[in-house]
Amino acid sequence: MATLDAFPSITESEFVKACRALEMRSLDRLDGTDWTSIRWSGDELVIKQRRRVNDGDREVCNGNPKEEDGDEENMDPIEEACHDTLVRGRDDFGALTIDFSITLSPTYCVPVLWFSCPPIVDGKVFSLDQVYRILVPLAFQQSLRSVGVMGGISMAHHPVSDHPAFFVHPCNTHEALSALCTDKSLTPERYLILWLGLIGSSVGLHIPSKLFETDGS
Amino acid sequence: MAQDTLQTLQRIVWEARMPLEIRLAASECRSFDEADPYLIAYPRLSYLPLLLPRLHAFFSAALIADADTVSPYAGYFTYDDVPLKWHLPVGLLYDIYVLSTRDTGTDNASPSSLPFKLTLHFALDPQKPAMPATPVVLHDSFINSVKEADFLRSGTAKPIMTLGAQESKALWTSTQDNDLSTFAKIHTSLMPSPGQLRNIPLRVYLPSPPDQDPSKAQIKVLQSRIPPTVASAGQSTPAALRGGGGQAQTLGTALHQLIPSLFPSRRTPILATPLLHGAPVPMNAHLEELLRWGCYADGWLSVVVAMRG
Repeated sequence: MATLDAFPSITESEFVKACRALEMRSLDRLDGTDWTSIRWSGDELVIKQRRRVNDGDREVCNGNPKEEDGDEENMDPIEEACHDTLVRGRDDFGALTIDFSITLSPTYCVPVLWFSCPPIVDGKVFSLDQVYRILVPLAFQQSLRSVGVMGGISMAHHPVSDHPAFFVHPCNTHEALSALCTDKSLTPERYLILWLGLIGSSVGLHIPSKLFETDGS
Repeated sequence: MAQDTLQTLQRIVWEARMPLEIRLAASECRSFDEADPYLIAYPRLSYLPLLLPRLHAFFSAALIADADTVSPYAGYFTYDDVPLKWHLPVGLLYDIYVLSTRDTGTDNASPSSLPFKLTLHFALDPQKPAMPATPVVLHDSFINSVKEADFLRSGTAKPIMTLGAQESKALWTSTQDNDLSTFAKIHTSLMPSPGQLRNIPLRVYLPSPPDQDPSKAQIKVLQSRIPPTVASAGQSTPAALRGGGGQAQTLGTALHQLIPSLFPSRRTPILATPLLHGAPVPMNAHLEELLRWGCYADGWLSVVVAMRG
């Protein structure tokens, strides 16, 4: 496969190739992984991930008492409904399904990672605080929260579905990719994998290692 | 165009206010027939959700639901049953949903189209999941937009990164008080000097025909790499373009590149008219000049396409 024209940017046609390649690679390899599906729609790469919400999350969800002390009165009704929401959003196995979507930013010419949970109770969407508490691994909390107006995760209408969704802001992706990779001769798929490793991990989306196993194993 | 004319135009854009008539949704109102609307002349460049605390207080007695249990920021607006995007300035929303549907060949500011009649809702619609547009979410979305415009203009995110938190905040609040002088100071510091401009942050809003599926996005937004100059015949290498060897990009050349089917001519609006800040813009307007003096507060040239009737 040809290598990228202008790393750390990716062109539209390279992006399409990359998404198709990752979709192909995943065929028959998702069993036993936390990815339940991956599909290229022509506009976006949709990855559904089923994530276990373990018992500790009940506390996480209700707020870390050390951090939230004194904030109790100011709590938004959405926050108060959080525990309830989480329990109802879980399926029988105590897991949440998270819809991830990867689109191409026409401005930055890099992929953008969007995510949302399916409408849970009364059409209410996850609050940003819930996202940080439930989806963002502890190791990324500090660095992700400390940038921009309200951290590295923003909210907007998804460019394809038009539904409210969260996204990891792409304005630093260029620099991060350049710092991570000095070998600029990447195929589109390697680029997408590198990018997903960089951006996905901040919200707990990891590429299953099974995708890289050779056939017949 | 002469500098003082451009400055005057910019001042008019910044001082523009739009009369709004806001009513609470009938289904959420105790006595719809008796309820007064909320009337305000609101800055065209400002954002609707900033009105929510005032509206929540104004309508709290009329709300069927207990106002104390409803967050002001749960509120959202519709026009003609279409939910309005909270991240767009109210003037742009008006151009998209009202002006673009009028025949621009006639007087497009006909009295019946003003005030802009909006409906306020607080109850969630499960079919259309909403996102609470709190002040921090709005500010974040505005700054993201500013960053994008900056990235297109300069090719890096560096100028905006050097902007202090105070300036970033001031840029945001300038939209709320028609504060042109604050905006102009910061905007000028972010604009590359002439000849250094890489691309024009131009977004073109195409309202979709009314017969289309209402569950889909109502407006199509087009964006592409638009350099400030276009190659003259025989010149098409990027180096020639950057070297300023080409001719100045006009609104007409850019629209022809983006949507040739609607703008078959680069000079004459035949099938559609471009609107900016509520007014038709000549096709031969220089895009770089338009950007410097006529962009929205987030640095974008947001042009709405109105089909000619």
